[in-house]
Amino acid sequence: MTPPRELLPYLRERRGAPSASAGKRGWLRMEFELDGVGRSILRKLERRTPIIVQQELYFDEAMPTMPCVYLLSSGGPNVDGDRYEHHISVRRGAFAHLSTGAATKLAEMTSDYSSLTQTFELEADSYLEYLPEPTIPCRHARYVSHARIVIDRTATLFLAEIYLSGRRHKRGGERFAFDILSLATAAERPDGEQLFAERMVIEPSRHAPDTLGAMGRWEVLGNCFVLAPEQITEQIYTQIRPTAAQDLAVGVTRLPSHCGLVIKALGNDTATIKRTIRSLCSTVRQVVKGCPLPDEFPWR
Amino acid sequence: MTLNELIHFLQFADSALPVGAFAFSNALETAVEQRVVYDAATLAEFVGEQLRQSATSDGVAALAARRATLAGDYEALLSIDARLIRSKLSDELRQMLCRMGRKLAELSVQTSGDPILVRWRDDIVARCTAGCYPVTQGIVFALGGLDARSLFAAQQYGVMTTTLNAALRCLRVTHFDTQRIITRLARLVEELYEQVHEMSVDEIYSFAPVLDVLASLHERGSARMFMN
Repeated sequence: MTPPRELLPYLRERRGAPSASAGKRGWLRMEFELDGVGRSILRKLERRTPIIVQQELYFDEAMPTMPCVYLLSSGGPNVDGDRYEHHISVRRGAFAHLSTGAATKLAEMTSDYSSLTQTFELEADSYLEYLPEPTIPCRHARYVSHARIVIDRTATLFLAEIYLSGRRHKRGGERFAFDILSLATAAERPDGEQLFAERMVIEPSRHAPDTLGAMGRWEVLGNCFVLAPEQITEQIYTQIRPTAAQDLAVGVTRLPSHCGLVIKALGNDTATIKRTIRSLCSTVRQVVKGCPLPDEFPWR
Repeated sequence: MTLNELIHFLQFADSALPVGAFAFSNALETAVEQRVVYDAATLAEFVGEQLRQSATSDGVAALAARRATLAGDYEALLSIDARLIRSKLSDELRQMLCRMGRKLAELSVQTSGDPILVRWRDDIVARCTAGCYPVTQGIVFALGGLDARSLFAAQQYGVMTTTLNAALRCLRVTHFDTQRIITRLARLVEELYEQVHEMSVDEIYSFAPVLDVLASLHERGSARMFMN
């Protein structure tokens, strides 16, 4: 991936291992499909260090035939020069739940940046929940993420990411001390019809994100996309209540091309945003699959 | 700039241009209701944020549309328009851009009758393209012989006056306050032009989660003076 223009001021020759070299270019290919008896299975898995994929488990009591998979990284935090790629396919009628084992930390970077390129491919009638743990950008972190979604009109995707302002309890608090986050999400139909494209660029040294209108008084952002057939998203839309409370603000709106919804959740406490996102996911699952999300494990 | 061009510029940058800007508040109505904006200082900060957000999206699209019109590349205009509307994730914001864009196209056909404008208006009416306001602005400014800086100034000035005129109707601020805000923010517009004038539409971005939430609260609100 060519780095976007806003990263150019941060590109310097690396002194450590070259960017995207062994151990720095981790990739993952996963394909879920239905087996003969209606169970969804992880049919294909290829990965390269430092990305690790845990054994798929069927622990979801509400959907016992759904594989739940945690993605991990053996490399610890993302450092400069890391180039990660995920390619996740959900074949016709299959379903899966993905998360990460722990928060993704973006370490301090002195040259270059770290990146994550993701492709989510959802075939007809498939269903995917992607709820990774929060991303925490440390001081001087630089990060580029690009998620490309290719989704059939009959499939459903719930994709939710959480970004913190920094290591909020490190030496009195680290808020918006990262260099730059460049976060893009775009969706299209398998026939190439483009649906929407969101690109968020946050560069605190250029413009403080805590101004009124951007993050205001909030420190944790939950960014969720619900892509589903229009009659389903309309049901979900009416069930989500926009909120402006002391500890939480939630907004929902319809995406372009009638392809789904985008929900922004703002809070000052990670647990509140995680809870909100699980509850949104539960609403989606209830409408699409007829069952709610079980309670989160107490240790998560 | 010739006097003729100057008059053209004033005409299309005028907040009284009949494109319906008075019906919109750019989420200010909800910001006031939620006590996010409550005086002249918070209003200035709010409008400043709107300028930043619109510069890196609407501003970029307007400048690209001007270049495409000068190059006679109609297909590029369609693709700029499609790219801009895909990046507008708020439903009410899309409605605003489309309504004002269509009005401006209809109006400009009356005043200039240039074949590109006629085709553009017809494509909007036939729903072949969204007809976003900044893209239509870009076409109108290119055909009027106005340069990129005037276009950007008009685009940004439009954002300021739409919100500030709404502020006079839903917030306790005076005309002196709003004029002071315009004078102060003019410097920011200069800075933003330098930041965005080389960007392509594929680089459009924004980051305003609070504005997004306010827009959503407005979308579902019951008592409303404005359409966004």
